[in-house]
Amino acid sequence: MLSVKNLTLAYTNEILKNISFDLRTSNLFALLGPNGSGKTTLLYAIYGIIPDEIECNVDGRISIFGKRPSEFKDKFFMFQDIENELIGPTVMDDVLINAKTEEDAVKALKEMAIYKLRNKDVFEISYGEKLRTLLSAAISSKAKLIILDEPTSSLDFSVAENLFKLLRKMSKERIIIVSTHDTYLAYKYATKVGIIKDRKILFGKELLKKAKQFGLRPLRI
Amino acid sequence: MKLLLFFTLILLLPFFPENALPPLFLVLVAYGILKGYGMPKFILIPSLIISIILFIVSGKTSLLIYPFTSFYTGYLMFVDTSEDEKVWFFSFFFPKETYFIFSKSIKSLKNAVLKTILYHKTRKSNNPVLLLSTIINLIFRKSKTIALTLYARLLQHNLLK
Repeated sequence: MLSVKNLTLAYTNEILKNISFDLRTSNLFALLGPNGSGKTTLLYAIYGIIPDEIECNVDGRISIFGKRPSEFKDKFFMFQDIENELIGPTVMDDVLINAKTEEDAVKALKEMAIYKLRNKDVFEISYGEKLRTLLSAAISSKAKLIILDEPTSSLDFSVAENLFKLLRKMSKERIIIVSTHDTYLAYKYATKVGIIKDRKILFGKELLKKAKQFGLRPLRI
Repeated sequence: MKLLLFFTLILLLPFFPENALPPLFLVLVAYGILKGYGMPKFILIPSLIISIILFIVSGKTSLLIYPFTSFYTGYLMFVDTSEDEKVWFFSFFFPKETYFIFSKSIKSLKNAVLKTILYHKTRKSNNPVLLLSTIINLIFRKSKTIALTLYARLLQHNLLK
């Protein structure tokens, strides 16, 4: 279980105040909020990048299966800016860094429809293909906690929907947190929805029906 | 003493005719020395070694002076001087506006390198060779973008006709 208790995060000014929530295995948690609302900061704190790598005042407690974020190792993070995240040298090599087995890597590449690119240099593929390479690494890692920061922002709708379908399926055995601006996919596939508003998180899928009030794209089902 | 060194360096300028940049760098080095800026060992030693190797291999005097002076100029521009002086150094060659683009590009390159290191850690890739090759690749790609941006800006200023 992932538990966040009374979490306050602040750089020079306060980003999030007194946040508390729990996520269990089999949760696909969609985190929404306008740009600059603190989604990425919260994801960094859950993963342990804050305060280990980036300075930030953290007050409160985060526990992942009974461990602190820096102690919990079975996890995967996909950053928003993926341009320099690929390691390579080839697409297959990159996925194998995180894949549990080669079979998992092949399966993930096929699911992301980039199996034919497996021997390509990671610096020669397009942005969308890079994104799908990283998503393949995330899927095949089979980590207990997977965090994806705005993975669908540059995907066409059908690939984005396939990804959410896949994440929903994968979430049966793990916790998956996805930050997104896509109200429709969050509404349709997430098991839990949180919207950041004025440094707090409001929970509930039904809130998405009033998405515009929260500065989000209106929900069209 | 510093003044003497300065004029000595100026007098040496005509002996580097193959390339226009080394003499200009030399003036900047002289300026740095006159202003009393030091030369840290981590810049001095590698640049001297590279200079000597290049000189032995090519026999060209300009190659003897070029790495040393360019490293030192780079150090003066980006580490040890005030923003005003950096602008002054840069505008020795280019318009001030170009300096700001260059400076921002260098900062963004530094951020990109730091991010790459973080990404490698996060993905639990413990292969230092891969990390190094990714960083070199990143610097190469970013440098191309920086060079193109600067080139476009210099064209705007009619400096490259």
